[in-house]
Amino acid sequence: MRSSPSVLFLKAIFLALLFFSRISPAQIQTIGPGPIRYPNASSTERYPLTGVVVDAATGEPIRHALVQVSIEKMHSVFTGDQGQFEFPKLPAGTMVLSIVKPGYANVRGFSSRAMRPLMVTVGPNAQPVIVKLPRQAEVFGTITDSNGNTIENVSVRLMRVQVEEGVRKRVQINQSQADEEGNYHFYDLVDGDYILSAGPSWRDLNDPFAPGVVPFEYYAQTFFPAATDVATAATFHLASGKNQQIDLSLSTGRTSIVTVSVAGGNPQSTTVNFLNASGQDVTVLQRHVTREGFIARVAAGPVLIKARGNDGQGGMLYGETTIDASSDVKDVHIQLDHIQIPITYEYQNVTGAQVPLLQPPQLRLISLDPVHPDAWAQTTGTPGNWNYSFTNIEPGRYRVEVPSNDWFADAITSGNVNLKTDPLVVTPGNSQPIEVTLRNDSAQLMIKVEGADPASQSQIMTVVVPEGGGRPRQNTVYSPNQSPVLSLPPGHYTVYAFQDFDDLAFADPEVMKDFARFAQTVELQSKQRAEVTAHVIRKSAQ
Amino acid sequence: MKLRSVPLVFMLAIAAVAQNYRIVGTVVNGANDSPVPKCQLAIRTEGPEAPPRAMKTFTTTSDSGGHFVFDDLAGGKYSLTARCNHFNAQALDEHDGFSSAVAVGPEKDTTNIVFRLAPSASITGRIQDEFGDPVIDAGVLLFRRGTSLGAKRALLRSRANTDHGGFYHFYRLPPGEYLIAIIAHPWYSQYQPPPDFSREDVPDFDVGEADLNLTFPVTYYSGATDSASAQPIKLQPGDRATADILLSAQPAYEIRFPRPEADESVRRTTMHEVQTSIFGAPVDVHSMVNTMNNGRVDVVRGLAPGDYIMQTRNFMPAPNGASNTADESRQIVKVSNAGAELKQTTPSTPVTGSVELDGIRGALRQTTIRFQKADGTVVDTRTTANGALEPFHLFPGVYEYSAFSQQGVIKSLEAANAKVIGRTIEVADKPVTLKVTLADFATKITGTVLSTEGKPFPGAMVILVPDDIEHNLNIIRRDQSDTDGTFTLRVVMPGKYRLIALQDAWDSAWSDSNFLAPYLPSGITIEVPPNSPPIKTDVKVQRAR
Repeated sequence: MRSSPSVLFLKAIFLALLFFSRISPAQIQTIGPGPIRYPNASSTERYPLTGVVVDAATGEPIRHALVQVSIEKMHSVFTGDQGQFEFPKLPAGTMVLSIVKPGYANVRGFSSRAMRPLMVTVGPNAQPVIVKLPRQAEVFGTITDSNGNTIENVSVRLMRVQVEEGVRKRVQINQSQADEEGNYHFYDLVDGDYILSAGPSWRDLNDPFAPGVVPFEYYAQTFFPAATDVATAATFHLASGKNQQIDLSLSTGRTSIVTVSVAGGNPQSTTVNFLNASGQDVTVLQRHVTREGFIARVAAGPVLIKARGNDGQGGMLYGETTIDASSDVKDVHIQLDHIQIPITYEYQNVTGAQVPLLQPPQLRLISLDPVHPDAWAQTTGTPGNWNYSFTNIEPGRYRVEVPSNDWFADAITSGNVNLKTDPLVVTPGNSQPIEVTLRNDSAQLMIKVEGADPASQSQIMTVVVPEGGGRPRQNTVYSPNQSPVLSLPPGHYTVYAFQDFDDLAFADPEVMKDFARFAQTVELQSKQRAEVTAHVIRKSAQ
Repeated sequence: MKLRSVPLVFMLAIAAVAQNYRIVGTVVNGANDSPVPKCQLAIRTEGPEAPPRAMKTFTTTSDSGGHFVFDDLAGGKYSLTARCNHFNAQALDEHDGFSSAVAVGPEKDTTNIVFRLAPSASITGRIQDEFGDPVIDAGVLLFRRGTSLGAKRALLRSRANTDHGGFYHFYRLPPGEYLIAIIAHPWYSQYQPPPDFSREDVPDFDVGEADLNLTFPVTYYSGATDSASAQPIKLQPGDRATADILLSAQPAYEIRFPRPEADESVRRTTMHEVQTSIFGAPVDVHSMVNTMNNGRVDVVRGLAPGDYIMQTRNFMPAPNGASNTADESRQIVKVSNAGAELKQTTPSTPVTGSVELDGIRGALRQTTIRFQKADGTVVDTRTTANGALEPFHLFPGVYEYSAFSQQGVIKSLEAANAKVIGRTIEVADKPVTLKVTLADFATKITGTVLSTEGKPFPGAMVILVPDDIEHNLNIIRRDQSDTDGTFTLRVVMPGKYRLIALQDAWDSAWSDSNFLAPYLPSGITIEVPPNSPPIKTDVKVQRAR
């Protein structure tokens, strides 16, 4: 079936809502979205769309930028020498414009979270569009030893500190090798806070595993300015268009030799990783020496050894142990085991309504460790006799998330651990079930927003924080100034509205404490449809 | 001494004889003879047939004057390696995979070794388009004019991709003549399907819009689009060259070709590789391949005008579940603004065969037979459990053949429907059947290279040149003489040879019969019978002309 343009556009709006809920407010200046009119391609009326693309900082025109609008097909024009562009004939309506130019933060429809959608209105009285593109930042420098001698071919990593779902995270975004003179260069960076590290580096003609060998040149992974653990690394800010030089001097490090045997899995599939407390891999060199045995040279200090393998029947096996590798450690033994955590559901039909419940909400584990992926619960069995569980997940710490629909999670427990507030600690061999109690008398909250800056193009975001811990709910306010939040369990909540905030770590109570005096509190009863007015907290007004 | 890649080793006690010899020397920068401090130097015992685990490694570090000392050594041969900042790790007097081992013993002066480090060069450049934008992720191909299997030609040395600034950087390059070719697409290049003319209300949106179906032709430094006009970059030791290149977008074209009529009973997969020939080397072009019209037509898009080699493989499921190549064909297609023109279609020739052992005890272990063309293309096939070769395909042409076996070397290769001369086989269009016989009948030749005054001559290139060299390139044997002038040539096949030793010839076309002709008359004639005991002979060094 071919979707009509208006259906496509509604899909676009829906995508935009999803999209806005994940990203920071747009910084670009445009003519406002205004009242939405759906493009009507079958109408014969055509209008030009003109505009100019300029550098956000200098106002200089940007030439040969690609400007595109998608309506029935992709329409493409390049900007001229004065940054000007013109689509000669477009149908009237509101549509998404994308602008791409190497070296600039791109505005590219809905295709990626790093880019922001830009809505334009085409019609008889359309004004020219002015698009200001922020220039990307760069960072470059030289890696040396403590005497200032350059270190060649060392691996250099760049992490960005960014907020994902309200949680501040370090995300590795770039990695490269320094050249033969220790130089590195990263391009195309959006403005933000970064962490730079280099190393480890090992250069020696000796057998690395010969007993008593003192490494000729070993440099530990070092974080700018001089930390060897990412937890104590400093961040630096890169503003748009900044070309920042950051040189890094690596500290020489001590290493230890560790021998490990891993039993219980298919030996060909078994791998081991050596991590420090921050989850960094601290392996200098590793070798598989026997069927089940490994030898590794690792940075000296406390080390978490994680082993994984498979049972030969598609099932994953895990094992881990922590050792003190301040000096050589011999004969560490790790036994691999399955991880299977069953999930049981209990229903409290408070309303007594005949709710057809096909599947309970699917649980999700959000990793709280830097090295693990998130995981979804699995369903096995036959209709009417379903089993739910987490299998093949990495050991570690997780936050358990239960999506709300008609039924919401009133309680989530594992033994006597309250998983609404505390993390789930997954260990090999663990089979303590997760028990979920579901209820169906959720409330709704309509948040009316007032005090927004009408001149700002930044999005307004609402955050609803349950009292006594638990996951906040975040929404992006789309026109008009109200935001519905559905499926809220009865209870006490604090309600916030924000404008102009990039990367707000709203899931961090410490961060939210600063805004408490601007917030509204509300108590929701079973099945209540409540309304609250939230005053917008603006960064510019702080 | 031939450099062998053995892992750095565990120390094992070796019965010490007279532990009173020394190796004393200086590490210097080969470009200006200045001493190089803080190098890590390693020596490793170099028994000719010593198993890696019986070797012993010692290390030391050069002082501020570049001096180094290894004391209390037993007599014997040691490989000497240096690892210094800003230089490649390298062995003493290293050339082309060979180096001079240090011979230690009575009446051997090893107290004045000069370790001359070969300084390497680099090439850096930026690739930009005609609007001054960096070309990101462009494929940069670096060719070096060198010797390959006898001839001097441009050889693909490495491939890099430009970073987000459009920069590329090749370093640790030996001196020589380099050529650079770029394969890239514009950042804005997109394929747009043509308007659907079956609809009546075709919107007239296209007036004044930009064509994004553009690409960059293969471009050579310093901007030419034909390889004959490529400008070589000459690098001296330690040079840092800059080679920026400007690319200019052109309309992109496509090749369409129908698939073979589908046989519903067989599930098969078709793969296309689009290659272009750059200095004789086939290089993959990253273009878009689409299948249209319900799988009946394949379209390769985003191609600049020029000649392309389209390699098509049809994979059919094999009974055991593995995917075997069922057939293969190669088409040469000329792409221009007039469309795509098929210039030549070459189907591949199926090859089957078997491998036997002659005079080797035990059963045949898995063996790989390799066929290599002069342009560097390699086709490998392996033996199966019963000694048959896995069926494979070769395109018509001349190949050198060789074997990878733990049990022996190729004694003979007989072929039905193909011409075998020396160590080459010429395949035509008729299916070929091979019979390969392996034997353990090779030997070794040892000796000393002598100067015209009759003194041991280190650092010479020793070459064992077979008769009819054009058809026997892969049985040429080479070595570099050690500090006491001695050399060892291993795995020497039975046959007739001339043995020569050349001074200052490391960058020459050492396997080209025209280059070798003037030196052969002064060489030593050696006839090696099958299963010969080791042969010992000295050879006089000749100065390369």
